[in-house]
Amino acid sequence: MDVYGKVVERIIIEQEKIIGPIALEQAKKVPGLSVDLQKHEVKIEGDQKEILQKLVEQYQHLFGQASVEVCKDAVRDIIKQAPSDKIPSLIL
Amino acid sequence: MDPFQKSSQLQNPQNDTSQIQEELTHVNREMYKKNLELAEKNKILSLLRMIDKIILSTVTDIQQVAQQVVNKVVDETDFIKALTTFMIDKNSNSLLQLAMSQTKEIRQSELELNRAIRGIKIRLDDENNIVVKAVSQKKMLLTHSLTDVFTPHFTKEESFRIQQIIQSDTSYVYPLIIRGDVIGAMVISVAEIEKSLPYYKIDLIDRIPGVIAISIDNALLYQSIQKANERLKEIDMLKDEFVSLASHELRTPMTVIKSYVWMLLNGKMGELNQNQKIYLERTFSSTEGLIKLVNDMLNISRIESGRLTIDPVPTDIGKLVYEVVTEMQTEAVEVGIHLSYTQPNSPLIVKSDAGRIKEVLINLIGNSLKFTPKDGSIIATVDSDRQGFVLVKIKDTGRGISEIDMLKLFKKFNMVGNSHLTKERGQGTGLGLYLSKSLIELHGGKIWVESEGQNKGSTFSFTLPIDHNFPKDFAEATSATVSSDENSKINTDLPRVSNPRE
Repeated sequence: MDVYGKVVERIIIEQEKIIGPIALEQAKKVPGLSVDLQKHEVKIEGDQKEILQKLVEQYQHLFGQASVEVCKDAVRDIIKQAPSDKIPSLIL
Repeated sequence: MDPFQKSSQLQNPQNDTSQIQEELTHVNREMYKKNLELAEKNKILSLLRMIDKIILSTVTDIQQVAQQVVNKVVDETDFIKALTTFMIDKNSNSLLQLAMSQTKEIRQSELELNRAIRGIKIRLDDENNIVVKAVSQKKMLLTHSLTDVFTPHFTKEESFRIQQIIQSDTSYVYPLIIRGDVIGAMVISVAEIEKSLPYYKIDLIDRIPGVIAISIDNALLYQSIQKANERLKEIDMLKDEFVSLASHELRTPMTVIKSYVWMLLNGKMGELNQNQKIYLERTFSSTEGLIKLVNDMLNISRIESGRLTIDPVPTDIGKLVYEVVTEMQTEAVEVGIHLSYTQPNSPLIVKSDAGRIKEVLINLIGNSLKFTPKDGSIIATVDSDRQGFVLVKIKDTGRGISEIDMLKLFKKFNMVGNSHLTKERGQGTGLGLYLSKSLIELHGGKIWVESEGQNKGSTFSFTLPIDHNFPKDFAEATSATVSSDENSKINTDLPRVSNPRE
């Protein structure tokens, strides 16, 4: 799994700790993103940065800024592995 | 809300839907925040449980306990970047570093500075150091610069670099206080500034020093208990040696006194008048009591130090009980008590040191004689308990024993409530039942007492393992006799059983 895949997976797992299965339900609504947490499979079809941004926005739209902070905390360590211009500013 | 305004809103469905939408969004977000809080609190609770587990584990080394706790805290939280524990060392008047979280950032800092951060020592007279200040002021202090913590060990630049590497913005410095005394200090370095920390994170920060202080205190207490215990064992050994030596030294002169008194009483030095006889009889009886006490103490000292050994040989327990009952018959008749014996249907052979079991029987029957009033009865029975043991019972119609007294009956120096009632028949040493219990247990048996209460008599019972290997046809011819000092030892090749404490 590449860095984007890991970032997506980590975000969903952390959101799941707070809102349960709704976290995965909402992630599946993001176009271009398919996730199977049990198999550790994340597929991103299209612009990775944009899809990641949409995932965070999906939670933000429903749950507000607190959910963005959770996303930031969740990926703080992993995003160091990717160039900052490839990461949505929302979670930087 | 104005009723008119409300009705006008209700009349506009589009307005209504967007308001509901807005409220739902608000509810959603608030619920998310609460859920987030709960999730964080859950994490904190599970961390505290893990720390509890460390504290309650068998690890008793203070440094090890502190190290495990600080590592766990840093590993399990994302906002605590470093944790250091110090302990006050009064000898060197310093704070010695007990434990520091072992993270790759700390190692990186050490490598970069080419100096160790772990193991630093802060002098308690370094008044510029914030850790010293927290200890002397007995309160939590806060800093945004690790220079305050590391002075004078690291320069401002070095401290700043460490702070950069571990990514800490704020350090909380706590004194570790137990029962009002400061025993050390703790530095908790976190990633955020204090104002941005949610209350539950601050709550965790605030709890950690207390938990660490308790774990250190626990380990210290355990260590001191261990030391005290070792000292007590030494003292106990010295006491045993003293009792053993003193008893030996006392026994010889007392035997001499007893012999001369006996000679006087028996007219070997001339005729005695009535008063002289009474006084000498009292002297004789008291000397006998003292000799018994010394013997009992000597035996107990041997048992407790593991020096008492028994030589178990096949013994016909029925015969042994019969012989003791016969020997004590005269004494029973003197005090007007009917002492009888019910023998088993067939000989029962146990592996025992007949001399020692005889001591137990004399003690139990002797007790019954003491506490049974005139015209009472004592019955001794021997039977198999059908579970591989022989059951010996001494049942009397005496004063009985209360439930409370039964609990302490087999303890050392025990004189239960009724001891004074039959003073005229001689007072015990308070060691007999304790000794009997020790001897029976040394034989692999059990001893106990039953009584329905005061004035309802009592039954003392003990068991001994049956010697199944012993051929029955051989039993009659070789069963133990205990009339002489030397116990009958049928098979001297049998293993010698020592006190299990040896």
